Amino acid sequence: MSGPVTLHVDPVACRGHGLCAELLPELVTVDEWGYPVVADARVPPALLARARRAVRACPVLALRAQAEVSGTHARQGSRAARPPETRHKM
Amino acid sequence: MSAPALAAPSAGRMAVPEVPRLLAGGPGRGPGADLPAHRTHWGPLPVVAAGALVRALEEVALTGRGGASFPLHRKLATVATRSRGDAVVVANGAEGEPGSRKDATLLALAPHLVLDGVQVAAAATGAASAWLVVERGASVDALHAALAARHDPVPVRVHALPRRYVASEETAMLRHLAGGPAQPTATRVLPVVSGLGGRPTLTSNVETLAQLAALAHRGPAWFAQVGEACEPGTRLVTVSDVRGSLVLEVATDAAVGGVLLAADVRPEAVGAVLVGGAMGRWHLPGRVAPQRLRSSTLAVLPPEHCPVAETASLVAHLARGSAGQCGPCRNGLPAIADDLALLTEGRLDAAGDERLQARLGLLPGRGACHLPDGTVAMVRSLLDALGDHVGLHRLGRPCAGAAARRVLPVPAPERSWR
Repeated sequence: MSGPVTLHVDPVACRGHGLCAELLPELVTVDEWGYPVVADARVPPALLARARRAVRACPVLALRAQAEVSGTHARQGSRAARPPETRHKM
Repeated sequence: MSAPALAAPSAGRMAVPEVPRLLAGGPGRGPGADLPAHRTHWGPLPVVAAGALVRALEEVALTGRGGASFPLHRKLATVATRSRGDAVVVANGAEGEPGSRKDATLLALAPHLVLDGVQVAAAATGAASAWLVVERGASVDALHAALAARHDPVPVRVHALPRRYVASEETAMLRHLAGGPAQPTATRVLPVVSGLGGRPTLTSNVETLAQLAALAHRGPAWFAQVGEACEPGTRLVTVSDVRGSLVLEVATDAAVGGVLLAADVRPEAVGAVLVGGAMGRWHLPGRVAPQRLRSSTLAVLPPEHCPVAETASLVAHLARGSAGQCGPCRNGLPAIADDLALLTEGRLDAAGDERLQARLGLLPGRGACHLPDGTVAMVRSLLDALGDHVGLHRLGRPCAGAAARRVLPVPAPERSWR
């Protein structure tokens, strides 16, 4: 049922604290203003535990990790339908 | 073997005929805002069941004319399926796009066709209420008068949005309708599933709804009499140049060069063309003239004008019009606007150019809405398509065109989001 886990930043909630980039530099870097850039959203199994910690560490809960469910990429309008997110449990 | 180039007729260089369907009611030559005249021209409000309407829409492949070009039949089918008689129809007539006047023109010349479209969509989706959304400052008296003259089954209310670029973005508009600020939300739930007040909500551009009404009135065979085979019909387009702007209705197979000639823009007066407005693409005239017009705005820069200065002005406008909710937009757009201002003056050095490239690479895909993505694509098209001109700026050469008046005026945005 659950496929690969992907990282997602809520761009409105994010305030550029930068903890995610410190805790998970393999997947998250920051731009010149300190806001996160997720190069590849897919989390390799070896990094799952650290990704979880980064999600929990975000002071404004802007970093999410979610399990991709197959067939959820149907697009409607200009927005992608995304699978339900899990903020605290993965 | 092809014919010699000089003898070959160039599709892009022949004026295309105007096809007045939606705009058949121009001043003094049709129904306009007068309801009896509208009914004489189009007939009574059509009654079309949801299934038949979805099939007809799919047959003519009607796509959204608000910029996203999304197939209307899919939106309408989803709302119709989800509706329990509580759906909402929102007609978006707020064009925050610099250089677009087509929706305001349509609402002035054929309000009843738009309102017919709202009613047809409302009946098919089982909607209980509808909104007609315009920009604050638009003349709403005529719209209220048009509504008062009708006896529609589904009530339509007029709503005015703040004049800011992103305010008419779908989620921002719905947020404002619900009493909040007109700022986009990073929602993952589609409005067609859960929109205004949690109800299935069909948002659609006013031209799209007028096209829907024309289709419901006349049927798919009539609809497909003009335009290209796979997406027939007409489209409204605003052509802007130094003289001002003009709204035309042309068939969907019209070439850009032909539309420019129809708008009385002489080929020698075209130095560069911005197709699609602030989220659009710059083109050299020779390249774009033969291409089919797939957009609602054409902005024509004369050869003696400066496309870098025009782009810098547009990006500064987008930065001001941003909701400033997301870091990439709040920080990135003003930074890119500053880079472009330096480039305009010939003062962006190699390090600055590198920084601009890095910024363009990092912004897309990181905002709640597509404002950063669209801005970056427009700026990139300047650097790519008009590289020769940009190169002179990189060399620090003075550009006389930078002082010319902008073709796309950018009004100061309202301060309020409410």
